[in-house]
Amino acid sequence: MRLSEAMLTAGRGLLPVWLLLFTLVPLLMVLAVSLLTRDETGFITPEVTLENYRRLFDPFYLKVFTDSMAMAGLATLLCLGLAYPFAYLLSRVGLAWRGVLLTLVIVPFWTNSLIRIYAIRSLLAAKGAMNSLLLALGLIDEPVRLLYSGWAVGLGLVYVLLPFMILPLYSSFEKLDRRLIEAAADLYAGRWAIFRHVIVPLTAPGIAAGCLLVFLPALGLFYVTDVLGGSRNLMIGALLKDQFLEARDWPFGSAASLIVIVGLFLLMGVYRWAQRWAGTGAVDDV
Amino acid sequence: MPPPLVEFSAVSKGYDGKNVLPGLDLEVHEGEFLTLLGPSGCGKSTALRLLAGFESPDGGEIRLEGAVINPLPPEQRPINTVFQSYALFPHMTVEENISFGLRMKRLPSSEIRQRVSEALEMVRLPELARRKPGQLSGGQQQRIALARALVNRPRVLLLDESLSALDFGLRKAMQTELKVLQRFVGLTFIFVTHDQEEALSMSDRVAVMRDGVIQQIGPPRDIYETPANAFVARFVGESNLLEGVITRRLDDGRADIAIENRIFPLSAPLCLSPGERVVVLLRPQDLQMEIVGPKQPGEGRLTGVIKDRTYKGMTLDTLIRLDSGTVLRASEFFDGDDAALTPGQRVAVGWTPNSPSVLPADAPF
Repeated sequence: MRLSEAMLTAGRGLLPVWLLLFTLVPLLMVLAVSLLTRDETGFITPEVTLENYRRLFDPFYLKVFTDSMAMAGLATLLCLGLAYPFAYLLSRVGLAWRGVLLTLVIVPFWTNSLIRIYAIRSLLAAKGAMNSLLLALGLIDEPVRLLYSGWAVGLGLVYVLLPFMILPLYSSFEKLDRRLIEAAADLYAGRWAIFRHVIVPLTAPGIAAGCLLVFLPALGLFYVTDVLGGSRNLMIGALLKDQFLEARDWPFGSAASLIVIVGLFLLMGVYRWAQRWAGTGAVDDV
Repeated sequence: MPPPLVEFSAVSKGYDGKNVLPGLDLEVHEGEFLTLLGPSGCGKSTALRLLAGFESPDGGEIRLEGAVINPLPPEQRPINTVFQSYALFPHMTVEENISFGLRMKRLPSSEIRQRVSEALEMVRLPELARRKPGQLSGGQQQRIALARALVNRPRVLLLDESLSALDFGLRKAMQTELKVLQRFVGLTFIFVTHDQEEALSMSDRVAVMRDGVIQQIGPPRDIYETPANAFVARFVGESNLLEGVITRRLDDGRADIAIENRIFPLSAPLCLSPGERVVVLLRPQDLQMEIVGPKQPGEGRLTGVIKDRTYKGMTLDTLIRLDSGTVLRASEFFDGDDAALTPGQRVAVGWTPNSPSVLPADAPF
C-alpha cells in the first residue's frame, strides 16, 4: 500500500516534468523557430521576424490550407456517413456477430497503413484491378485515370481513417440507454424525432471524438497525398513535410505547424463542449 | 354501461419460446388505481409494455375505450409511462424533459410553458426547471418522470416498478403522494410492483399474477383477507400455511379439517368436499398463545414449543415449532406484559374466531 502510494506521488510529481520536457519545451522551440529567419547554411539565424506568419497569408498557402480543410472535412463527413449506421448496427447485433465485425474493423491496423495505401494505388492504377473490372464489365472502353486525383486522396483518407470514426461512435452507441428511446416513443416522438432529439444528441460525444480523430490526421497524412494525389493535391501535412525535409525552411514550417496546433486546440474545445452538451458528465475522460 | 377504459382479451406474448403471457384477460376502469402484483417474471411488466406499445402481442386484443390498439405504435397511444429507471433524457433540462411530449405533439409554445409550470407545481419542484437530471436526487428524478408523463394528460398512466429504486423512507412518502395525486388528477393508473405492501396501500384493485396468469383480482382487502389460493396468501402479507384434508362437511358451511393430526371445524368454501386436500391460512397476528403443561393436550388447538421471540418495535414475533415439526409465526402487539413467554416453553396455539381461511390446495408451492 505504502509503496504504491509512494509511486503514485512520484508519478504525480513526474507528470509535470514529463509534460514540460516533451510537450511544452518542443512547442516553445517551434514557436521560437517560427519567429526567426531562415538561413541557407545553418537552417536558422537569430533574426526575429513575423515574416513567416505573413507568408502563410500568401494566396498559394491559403489555398493549400483551405483545400486541405475541405479535403479533410469531406473525408470526415464521408467517414461519419459510413460509420454512423455501421456503429449503430454494431451496437444492436448479437455478441457473436459484434465480435466478428469489430475484429474486421481492427484487422487493417495489423498492416502498416503506408503499405495499405500502396495497395490502393495498385488498385486504382491505369492497369490496376479497378480499371480491369470496369473494362471487363464493359462500363468503360479504355482505362480511366483514377489515380492522382482528389478523389483518390479522399478514398485513401476514408479508407485509412474509417476505424477511428467507427470505434468512438460504437462506444457512444453502446452507452446509449435503450429505455431513453422507448421513453421518447412513449412521449409521441416518431422515428425521425427520436433520431434528432435523442440519438444524435446522446451520441454527440462519439461524433465529436470520431470527427476529431479523423479530421486531424486527415490534415496531416502526407503520404496519402504523396502516393495517391497529383501535384495539385498539396495538403498541409505534405506542405509541412516539404518545408522541413525538402525546402529546409524551418521557420516557415514551424509557423505553419503552430497554426495547425492552434486549430487542433480549437477542435478539442468543440469536443469538450459537445460532451458537456450531451450531459454525460464525462468531461474528464478523454 | 360504457366499455372498460382498457381491456386485455386473451392477450398472449412469448419470448424465445417461453410463454410469458399465455392469454391475459383484464379490464381496467376509468379513474381506477389498479396494481399488477407478482414476483419477477410473472408477466406483469410484459403486460404493461404491451399496453404502452413497446411490444406487440402474439395473439389477442388490447382495447382502449373499446377500440383495438394492437397495431398502434407507442407514439400514437394516449398512454404514458413512468419507467423504473425514470429514463429522463440526460441531455435535456428538467423543463425540456417535461415539455418533450407536448413539443412532439406541436402544441403552441404558450400552452406548453403553462402546462410545464403547472406540472412542476404539481410535483412541487418548480425551482428545478433548469437543472439537468444528473443534478437531481433519486426522489426528485422520480417526481420529474411523473410530471413528464402527467403533463400530457394521458388516458392511462403506466408506472413500471416506479418506486422500487427509492430508499425506504422516500418510497413510503412517494406512495402516499402518488395516491393523493391520482385522486387529484382523476387519471387511471396502472401500477406494476412486486412489493405487496405497496400494492395493498395504494390500489383500488390489485391483480395478483403468477406465470402470466391472474390468480386473483379485487380490492386490497379481499386479496388480503380472502385469498383465492395458497399462492396469493403466501405472496400477500405474512402467512402460515398448513396442509390439511377435509374429513366431513358440517351443515353450517363449516367442515371438519384434519390439520397436524387433529380435527378442527373451520368454515370452508362449499365447493370443497370430503377427502379434498386444502391449505389453511393463519395470519401471524390472528394467533393466540397460552402456556400449557407438558402432558396437557391443548384441546381444539395446536401445540408446540417456542423457538424464538423477536422484538420488532410495534410487534413481538414468536416462532413456534409444532409437535409435527412445522414452524408457525405469531405476531402480537407489544404491550410490555408478554414477557411471560420465553423460548423453550410449551404452548397451545389458538386463533381468533373465523380467522383461518381454507383454500384449495391446487397451487403447488
